[in-house]
Amino acid sequence: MRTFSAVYCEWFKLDEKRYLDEVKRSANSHSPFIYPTMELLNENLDNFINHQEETVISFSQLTQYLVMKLAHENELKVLLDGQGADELLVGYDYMTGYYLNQQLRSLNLKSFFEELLTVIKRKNVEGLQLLSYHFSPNFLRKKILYRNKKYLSNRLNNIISQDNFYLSPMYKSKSLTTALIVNVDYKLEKLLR
Amino acid sequence: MTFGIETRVPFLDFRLVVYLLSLPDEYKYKKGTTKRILRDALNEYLPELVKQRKDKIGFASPDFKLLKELDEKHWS
Repeated sequence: MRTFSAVYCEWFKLDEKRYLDEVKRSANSHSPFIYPTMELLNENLDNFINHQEETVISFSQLTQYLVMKLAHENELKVLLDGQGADELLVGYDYMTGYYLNQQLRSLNLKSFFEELLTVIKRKNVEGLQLLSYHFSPNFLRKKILYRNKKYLSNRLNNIISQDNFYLSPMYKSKSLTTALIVNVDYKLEKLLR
Repeated sequence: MTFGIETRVPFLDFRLVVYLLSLPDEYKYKKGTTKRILRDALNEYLPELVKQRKDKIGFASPDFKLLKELDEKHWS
């Protein structure tokens, strides 16, 4: 088996190197990493923008671009990608909010408090935010779900928050399954790119 | 596509999508454990560290820090 990954330096708290190392060891895989440094990102930025042809709001896409470059340098043509697993199998923290809301509304209180406790223990802020969204008046809802990115201009922030508005059917979903269906429906086109 | 690489996305096979969306919640999430059916299915292959992990996130990058540093070092 061969895998390709990007690893940020240790100062990034979401870095996943120790998990990658463990998989590499147990699967005995050939797994080169790419370490995106400032120099490397800056070097590739122009080319990346040329090929991407649309606005992005994070470094994720550029990082992915570097992973593809790494695979290319290793003479690979076809890769498997795990896109979609988070959307289908409740991989995102905020999704637990749907589950909490659903258990509460169906008066499944024992399960609700158990789940609430887990969410609090895990400091899953996004899950709690989504739960509170369902019990908030309309004018607060936008504030709860969307915070401006400080490195973007107000204009771009407004456009993104407008785009976020199209997600409101998902946020309003009363059950976990409905939320997942709406989410997959909305994201499928993006995931397949 | 820049590098002529084709990525295939097995999780987005429509048969799997329809199947997973039709499953009861408990197959996907319970008490902080996400992707339960997948963890179970891969039980014998996954290293313990990965199997027990409960803080998985998407494809994240340290955006703010990177921009600040790029701004200071390269664009000023």
